[in-house]
Amino acid sequence: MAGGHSLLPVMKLRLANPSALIDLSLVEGMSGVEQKGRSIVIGAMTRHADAANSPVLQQVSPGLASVPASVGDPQVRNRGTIGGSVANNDPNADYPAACLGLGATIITNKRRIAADDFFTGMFSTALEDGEIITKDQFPGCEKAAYEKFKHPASGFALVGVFVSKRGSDIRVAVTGAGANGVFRVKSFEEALKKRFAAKSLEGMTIPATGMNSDIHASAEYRAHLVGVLARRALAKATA
Amino acid sequence: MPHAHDLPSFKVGLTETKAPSNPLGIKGCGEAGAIASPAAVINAITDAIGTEDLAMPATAQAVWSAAHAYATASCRVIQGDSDVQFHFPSSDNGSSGGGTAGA
Repeated sequence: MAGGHSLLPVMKLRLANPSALIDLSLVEGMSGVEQKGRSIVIGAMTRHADAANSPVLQQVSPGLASVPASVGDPQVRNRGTIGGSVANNDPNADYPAACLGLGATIITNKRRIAADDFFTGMFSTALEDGEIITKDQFPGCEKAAYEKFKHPASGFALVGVFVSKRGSDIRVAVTGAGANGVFRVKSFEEALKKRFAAKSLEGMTIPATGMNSDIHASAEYRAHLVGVLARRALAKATA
Repeated sequence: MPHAHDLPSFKVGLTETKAPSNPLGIKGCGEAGAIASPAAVINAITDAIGTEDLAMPATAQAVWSAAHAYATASCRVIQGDSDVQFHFPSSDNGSSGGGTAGA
């Protein structure tokens, strides 16, 4: 168990009933934010509040720092961790968008996994039994920003869009919208290759097929929000 | 719905206007804020997006959907599509005591 802010509610609802829980919070060397060369390495047990308030992260990658700052409420940010969020791969969680949107590397006790290969579907990842995330490594980039449409009660991303530019590597990653979890919008990325600016996506939308639909937002509305939030994120990243 | 964390900080002030109709100067009052404000907000939204009505709560999605449906319907009318059926709550509600959807 990392921060327990996904697992404990699920256990409260009797949807999970593990025979034993191992709390990782006292394991040494699993938390903290470090700059390594041009990369940022965040320990898996780093709480959202600590990542958001990290002077290193705020200075090197304000776009990435804004992700943990936007998670849930103060209680969640003070307990929830990046490793827990990434391993859980909740379709509405914020960190998966940052990992995919920055081309992060997920480092486990066994191997290194590229974010593109890590998120395999809703609540599903490439992690195997007995494998735990120890660190997340984010490459440095020129421009990055995250924008989300918060669910007013939970603070979860109804839709969240992370955009980044690192040389010719342009990424637009979306959380909250896809019925199958976090995904990249290739059509937006192509359009941004000419010019990395909100204007390049003017009038662009994505189809509502494959979008999640629930009482909070229809598939059509989520698809609409992807375009709006991508343009907002680009405006923020290029400001 | 607004939640506790959406509330701004505020100062409470009292204004007293005694009723002249009884020796104690008292009068009954209830739900004062709840009578006019929802109607005012919904009127403002329908005025802004051009629809006749909008059921509460006016979530972002509800407002977007209503504006979208209205824009699409207006377009079709201009193109002469006879399948479009319009619903005018103002004429329907004339005899229903003024109750608007969502009240």
